[in-house]
Amino acid sequence: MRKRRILIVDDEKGFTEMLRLNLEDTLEYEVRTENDSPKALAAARAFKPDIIFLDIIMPGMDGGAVLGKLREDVETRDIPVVFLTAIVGENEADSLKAGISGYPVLSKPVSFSKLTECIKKTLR
Amino acid sequence: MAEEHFEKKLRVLHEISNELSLTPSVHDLCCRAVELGRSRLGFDRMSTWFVDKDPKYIVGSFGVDEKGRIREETEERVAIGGDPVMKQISAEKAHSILCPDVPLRDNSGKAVGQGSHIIAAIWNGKEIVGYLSTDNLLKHVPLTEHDRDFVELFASTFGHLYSLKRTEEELRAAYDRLKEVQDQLVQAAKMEVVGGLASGVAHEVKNPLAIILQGIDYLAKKVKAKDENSHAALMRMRIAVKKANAIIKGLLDFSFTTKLDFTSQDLNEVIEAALLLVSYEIGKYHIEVVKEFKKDIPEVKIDKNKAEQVFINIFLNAINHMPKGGQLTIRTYTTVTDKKMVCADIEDTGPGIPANILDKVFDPFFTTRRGLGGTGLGLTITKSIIEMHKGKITVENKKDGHGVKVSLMFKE
Repeated sequence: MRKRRILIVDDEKGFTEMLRLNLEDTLEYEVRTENDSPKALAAARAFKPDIIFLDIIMPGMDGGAVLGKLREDVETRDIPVVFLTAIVGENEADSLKAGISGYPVLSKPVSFSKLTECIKKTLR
Repeated sequence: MAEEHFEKKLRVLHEISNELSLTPSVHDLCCRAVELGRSRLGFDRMSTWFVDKDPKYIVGSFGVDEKGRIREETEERVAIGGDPVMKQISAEKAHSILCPDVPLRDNSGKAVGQGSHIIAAIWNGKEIVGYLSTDNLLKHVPLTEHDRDFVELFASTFGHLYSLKRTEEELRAAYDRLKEVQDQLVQAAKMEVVGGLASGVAHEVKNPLAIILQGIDYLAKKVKAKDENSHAALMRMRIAVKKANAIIKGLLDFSFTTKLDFTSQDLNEVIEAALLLVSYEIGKYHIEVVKEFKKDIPEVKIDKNKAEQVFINIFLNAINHMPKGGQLTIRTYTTVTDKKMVCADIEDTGPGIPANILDKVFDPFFTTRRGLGGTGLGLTITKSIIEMHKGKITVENKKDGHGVKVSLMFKE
């Protein structure tokens, strides 16, 4: 079985690299990180991830705009997206049952266990 | 002889006007004027009246009753038109009038004797602010034109002092109001800055925290299971990240307090809900909860969640200051200030707040529990929520010296 692919989009390189380290360490995932929104859109088409973690506040095109572009493109429109953002607190994220525009939300800082739990739930 | 007597009285008048000028308030001035009028100037029965907001009426101040006792008569209010002598003075036909032989009356208008009576304008240099009335009901010594002159002089001296004191009081009240508004403005400006900074700082700090937390999680997997020290170190780091995050959460709560969802709520129920959420702490620290709730309390328009947060913050503060157990008393009641208010008092039996920090308890990041989990934002947020409700919060040490009383007021 091929490894599940995860695309992480966040302008904070330190964060995406740290996440990659953690996720790859499980040997369960193939991870690609992008720190720039247009590149992230190209990566979504080429890499064909099973799930995309998307930051909201990013320079240039923010997470909401990236999501819009992903949804316009037939190649990427069905990829599950999870918002991973610092603008929502943990309690708010937990209480946002319907997510933001229907997409699940994780609050930064997030523990690795919570993150993997979310991946498993989304991919189930 | 009469002249000598008048001169002596003038000296006394000078002395007592000095004394009266030192009285702290209009109320005290009026009371003292009657006391000194009787004891030093030898007035018989006397009373002072002031022109009401409606100039057709006068209201009482202090006077001497039919038995010679000084009493407060501020509840009295009568029409000037009812007294022909007063009416004549009010028309500025005379500054004072002596009636040598007339029926003398009590406040209700009932005749209580016969004798002489003087009414003098309490004159402040510009206008008549009231009337001084004196007669000879008690001592029966007939009043003369000399007495009338002197009463007129006394009333005028008193009138000047009265206006001075009144202006002073009005000025002081205006200053206090101004100071209060200025404090509110300064506070609001401070809060706005903090609120504005909050979301920016929160976002900037959360990202590095997220990296640190992922790093800790990564290292935790790499450290050998039996390396207890390294695991302990990682655990401490994890706790530190959590704490930093809690501070940020506080800041964010603070900047989010603008969004309130007002609904009609029973304050007693809100308090019960908040108590439930701190029941663990109540049990842990052996806190006895005393509820003195007013039944059928009027509903208040509040944001239920935020109001709960307010009570939780106050309860936790109280509990944190009673680590060896104590009593948490919650009282609800209604009161009327300028509007009907629904209130709650929360009292603890902790050590109280040192006087030098009492005015700092609402300042952001001010805490006495730094290193013990205090972020210094609890009461800041609490106050800002209360202010969003146009309510009021005060924190004071209890009168008995044992513990703190927090009072909350919500508009009905």
